Amino acid sequence: MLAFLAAIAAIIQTLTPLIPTVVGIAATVKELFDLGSQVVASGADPTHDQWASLVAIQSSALAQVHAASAVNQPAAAGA
Amino acid sequence: MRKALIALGTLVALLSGCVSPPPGSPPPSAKTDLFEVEATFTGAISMAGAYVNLPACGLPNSPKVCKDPGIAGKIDLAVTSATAALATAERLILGCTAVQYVAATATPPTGACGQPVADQTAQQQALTAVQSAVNALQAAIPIIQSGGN
Repeated sequence: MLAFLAAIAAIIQTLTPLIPTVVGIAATVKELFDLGSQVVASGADPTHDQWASLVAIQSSALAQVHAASAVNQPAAAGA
Repeated sequence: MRKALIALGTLVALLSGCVSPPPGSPPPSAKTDLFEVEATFTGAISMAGAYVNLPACGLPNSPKVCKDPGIAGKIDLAVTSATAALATAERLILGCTAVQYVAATATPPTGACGQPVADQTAQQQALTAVQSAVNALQAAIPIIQSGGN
């Protein structure tokens, strides 16, 4: 029983650091969904503000991917 | 936690398909289609960023939740490919990049920015290429792959 509880505790300990990441992605996805919904529901071209919001979110997300790539490059080259 | 990630992945996959335009409205413009596919791409790269920033699997101290470096490499390539397809579509439909478009419409637009530089067929082909590239990106991310099934 205790071993089982220890295993669960270990899993929780592993997953806990990911919670802010998941919350962050959820917020981003909701923002994107709201943006897309507004544009589709309006039936008009996206406004400047909507483009600006999208470009800002996209730049931030791309920066995250590129940051990981930059970290991975030396390891890949050394392998 | 995994269920939460899968739900997020499903939401990203469905992002562009949940809302309908008002009845009787004209078909969406290429700019609207581009905006939708850019939003879907942005959702996908948010998930991709979370995956590629995980610690690598296969090391003595690797955590249970980790990234497969091979998959991370494929995601990298898919992001590069989708970004290139988007850049082409932006140039044809907006006449410049989305970043330049935002900057140009914040002040009086200059030059061709804001004006399409290709006919509708070429614009649609570019959008189709972007959609394919974004689909490939979504397929490369294990979490989204699980959520989409």
